[in-house]
Amino acid sequence: MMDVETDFWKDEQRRASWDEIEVGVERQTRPVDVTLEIIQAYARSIGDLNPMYFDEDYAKQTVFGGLIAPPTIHVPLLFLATEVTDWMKTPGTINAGQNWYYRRPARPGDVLTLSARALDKLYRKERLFVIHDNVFYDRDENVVCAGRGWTVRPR
Amino acid sequence: MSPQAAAIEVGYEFPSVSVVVSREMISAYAAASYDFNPLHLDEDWMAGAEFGSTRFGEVIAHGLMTYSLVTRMLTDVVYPLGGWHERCEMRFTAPVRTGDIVTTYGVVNSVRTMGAQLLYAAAVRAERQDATVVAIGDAMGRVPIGPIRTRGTHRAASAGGPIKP
Repeated sequence: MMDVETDFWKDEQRRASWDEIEVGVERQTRPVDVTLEIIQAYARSIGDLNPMYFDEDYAKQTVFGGLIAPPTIHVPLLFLATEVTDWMKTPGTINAGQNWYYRRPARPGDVLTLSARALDKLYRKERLFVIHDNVFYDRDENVVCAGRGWTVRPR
Repeated sequence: MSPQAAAIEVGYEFPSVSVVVSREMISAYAAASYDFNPLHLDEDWMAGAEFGSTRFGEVIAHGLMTYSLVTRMLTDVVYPLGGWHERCEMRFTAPVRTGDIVTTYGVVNSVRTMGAQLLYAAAVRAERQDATVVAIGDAMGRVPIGPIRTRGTHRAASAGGPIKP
């Protein structure tokens, strides 16, 4: 596992509350190196031993021409790309729903950049929601995948 | 036996993925996803934490773990066909706790020809062992029409998840 902060309580007071989250403003992110280690650890964690992620000889003979990442690799990439103070890491953040469009597979060796922001926020049935969009670009600024999510904010 | 592209038609049911969710699986998912939200890890906090009128009472699994299991169900079929899993949308409708058995389902409900490919839409969901729907939504993908372009032997189905009820 990469060396990252695993205690989400630590920077809690530095993170934006629902009222402080600014709609339309880009969140601070950093590029992420997509490694075979990240890919395979993620695939194993969901019991997915598809040879597209593990068997290079097999993968070379498919339409993909080599090893790829599972589509949902955007999950670890998002947490690796965002700062410890990012509000997605606020304890108690509940995922209400997600949709993702996959344009091409992420591959080992890719360096992906996340463009992310809150698109909207609302108070509904006593719950505070934020709707956010996330787009991963490769080094050539081509879109790899793009998603939108709803989270319920704890504060 | 792996399905043929021709099998992707309205009514086609993707073979389910089923896993027993353990504390260890949730922790392993937290480590692999780099999502260390205490919702999934901090038993003491979750015993008393209130989320509006909801109290879970114990740690819950990541919604995106369920989303990823649904995706795995789809890629297990589509990748060996030389196809592409293009989109997935899911709402998380109930929590998954340790000891729950999560089973995924997907049924193709629309198909159309798009150039040399078949574009399909599928209704997808995941349920707990008591038939409570924990996630529900739609998926979209493409498979080639005609001869399958992959040459490798399909091993994804037999190499599926290690944890089955």
